[in-house]
Amino acid sequence: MQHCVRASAGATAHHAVGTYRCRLPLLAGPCQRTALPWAHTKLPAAHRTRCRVDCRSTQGPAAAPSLSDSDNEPSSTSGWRPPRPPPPPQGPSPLRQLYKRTLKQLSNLKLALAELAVIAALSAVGTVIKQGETYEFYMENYPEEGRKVLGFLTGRIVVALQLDHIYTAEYFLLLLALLGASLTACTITNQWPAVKVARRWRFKGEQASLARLEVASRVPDARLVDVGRVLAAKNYQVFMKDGQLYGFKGLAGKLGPIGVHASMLLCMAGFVTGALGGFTGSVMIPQGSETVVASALRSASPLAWNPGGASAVIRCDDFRIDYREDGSVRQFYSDLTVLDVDGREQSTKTVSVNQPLRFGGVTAYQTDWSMSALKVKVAGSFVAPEDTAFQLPMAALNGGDSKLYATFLPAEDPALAPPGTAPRGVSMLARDLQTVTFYDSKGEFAGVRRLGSGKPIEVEGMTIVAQEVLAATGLELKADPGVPLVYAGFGGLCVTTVVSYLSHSQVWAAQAGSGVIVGGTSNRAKVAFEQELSDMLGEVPEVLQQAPDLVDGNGKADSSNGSSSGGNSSSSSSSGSKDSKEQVL
Amino acid sequence: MMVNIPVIENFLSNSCFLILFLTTVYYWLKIGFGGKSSFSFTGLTGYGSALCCLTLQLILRWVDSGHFPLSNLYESLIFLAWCLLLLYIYIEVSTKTLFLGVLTSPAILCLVAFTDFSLPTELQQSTPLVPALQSNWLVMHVTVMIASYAALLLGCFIAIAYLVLSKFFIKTTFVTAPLSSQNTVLRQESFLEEKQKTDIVFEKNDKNLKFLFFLDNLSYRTIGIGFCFLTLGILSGAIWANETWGNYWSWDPKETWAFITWLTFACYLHSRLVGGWTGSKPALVASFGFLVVWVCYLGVNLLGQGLHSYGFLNV
Repeated sequence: MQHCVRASAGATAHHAVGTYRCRLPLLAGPCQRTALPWAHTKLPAAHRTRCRVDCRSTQGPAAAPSLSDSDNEPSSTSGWRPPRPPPPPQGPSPLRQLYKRTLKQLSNLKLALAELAVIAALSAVGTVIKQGETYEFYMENYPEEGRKVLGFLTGRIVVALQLDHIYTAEYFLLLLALLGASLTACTITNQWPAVKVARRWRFKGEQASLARLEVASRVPDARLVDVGRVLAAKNYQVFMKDGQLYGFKGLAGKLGPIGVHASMLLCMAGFVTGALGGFTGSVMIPQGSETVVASALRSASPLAWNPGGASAVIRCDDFRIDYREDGSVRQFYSDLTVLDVDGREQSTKTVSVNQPLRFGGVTAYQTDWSMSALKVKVAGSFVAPEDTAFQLPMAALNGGDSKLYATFLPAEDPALAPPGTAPRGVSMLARDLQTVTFYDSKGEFAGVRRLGSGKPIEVEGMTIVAQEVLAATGLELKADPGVPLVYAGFGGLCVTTVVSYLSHSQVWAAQAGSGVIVGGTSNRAKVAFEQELSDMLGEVPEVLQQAPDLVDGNGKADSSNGSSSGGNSSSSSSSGSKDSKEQVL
Repeated sequence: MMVNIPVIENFLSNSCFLILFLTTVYYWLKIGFGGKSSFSFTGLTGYGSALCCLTLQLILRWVDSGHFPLSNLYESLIFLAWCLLLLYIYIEVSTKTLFLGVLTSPAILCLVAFTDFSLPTELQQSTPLVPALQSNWLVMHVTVMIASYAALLLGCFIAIAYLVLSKFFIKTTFVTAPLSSQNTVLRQESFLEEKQKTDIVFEKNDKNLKFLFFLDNLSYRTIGIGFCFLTLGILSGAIWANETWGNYWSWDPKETWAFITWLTFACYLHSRLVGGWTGSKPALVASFGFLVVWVCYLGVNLLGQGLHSYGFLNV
């Protein structure tokens, strides 16, 4: 079966000229339809004003339209204007006028694109200039004299323009707020009305308006109800009235973009809530010790409200590192117990890097660790000659990327050493929880021992056995009330982004004599829509008129596709054959 | 039976390179010497076998290391090449065009060559995962991000091809019909508004312009898919970061550049959907976006510091 469903090129020629804004090559203007008494004739006021608002969806030729397709502005080249409404008796109040004007400015597309571009540029600056460093760092790396970075960028400019903490600078936050305002304005002025429009279906009765649709064709010898039936079988929602038909499918594809913007606003609300209402802090809890959560939390702003878990106490029962054979870390494990104010145990959990502990609105993440003390057994120390157990506190050594902790065991009584000199002793260094390295008083390397092996080492006249490192677990504590909002926004964004790619297809039809004129439009996947419509119209059964002398007429018309399969069936007057012929308008 | 996995992997990567090289040569010869230019079965076989080599290589690495093969730069580059090949095969089969192969096969060849021959050997080893990466989110976040890079890079590449070819073709059009230049402009616009055709032969000017329209539309659709994946990737990364460190956004260079990429393509899509732009103007935005994606994917890792860095170039 040959079907020729051709895009209306006639409309194209009209609309190639003119500003890009009013170029609606392939849509019928709504104004055309007001000629018919039973069609919706009244354009709501919002549509008229929207003709002049930039942030609305025009249908570009290769682009997906429109949240409010086919309903808004009259084409500038059609030569037909809707009758101007009479001026209102009294203007709206100045406040309302100001509100409307502000909304219009904010929902300007060019403004929104400019905002996105500036935010992107400033974010990029923040990745080039290292953030959050000390004043000296910028003085050193962006010098005042000599070769200045980029010829003009000195440390003073960096700090003065807040480029060292650009993401929390006021102008950056204001820009983000402006973007949020633009999103809100766009949703109010354009997208929300589109939802209301979507609920109102509009018929097109005039042949010319149907012909002007993106995809249009005439099905001879068919009935409107059959067209409707075929559409319904393809999951279209079909409405029929007085010889006219309207069907649509995939309304979600039209509402998707609105959902995207609404989800983004929800995310922004969550960000603000978290930024203002959250608590954060980090704490090192040595094995066996405990700490009150509230002492570690710092509020983000005066508006923050205390989470319930702030009064709890966390105790670290154990901290261990799981090492692989090659010495790299497989995982960190902390056994934590949460106690309430009175010391009763609330919960216990083994926390690791991707498994945090949640209690009372506070979450504890395993992010760090340190060594707090080294347990050794020493024979021959200045304290006592026999085996004595020491627990030596360790300190972190700076420099290099990896952790290094050290402690010192004096070989002689420090009080007896001459003032101003350091006593002789043994330095013990550890990088991880597996081995300890020993150095003597002169700083010479003395040996390495595995923790827990029990092997002694002789340094500076003492016999030392390194038994165990007491580690401390580093926990990041966070209470963020905005997270539910942010997650809800994220979830909405995931769903609505995907949904926005669905095609919103609309089909109009009207009975014209013995045949039906069908036209349609789709906001995405136009080629597939054309194919689909073509296939659907192929399934519309042929209905012949009763007069027998029309058999010849049909026989003649049959030659267009030559498929009179069952020439006898064409003489019946009921909806017989499934063949259908179409003519190109 | 002890299987020497590194040897097999080496064999697979070399054969993948060889197959892609032969496929590139084949496409160029086929286009250069004319012939019917709908999709090419031989070319697709070449692509398909390269895809199989890469799939096997990834599976072997998975078996060898015990974790999902997407933990370092080398594996992510292989996965990117894999996604590009898959995407290209789908496009060629569904749109039945040959010409794209001429453009994309050398690009994928360069990518695979860089991955296998330029990357230092120590970066190619599969290393065990650090604790922060031991999570199921690794599979979701990284695959979606790499897939989005593949779609965006392909779409932007097509847009660049559009720009280059449109300069070339429009010159030709003007040369052949200088007196009717006004008509030519209108004709070009009206052709851009017609639906795509599938013949791509360069002798006739009409066909050239239809092909330009096809490129324009294809780049738009590919970038659209890429943008969708990019959104999902960024969101899954944020949720993962919140589960691991309690902070869904820390303005890490990689996060920031992913956000910048997202903003760039949001501009592109809005200029098309809402502003109604077609043709050269969005293609320029897409060309800029091409650079942005590369900076986001490789530039940040190689140059910067932060949670995502490999940092083997010290700047």
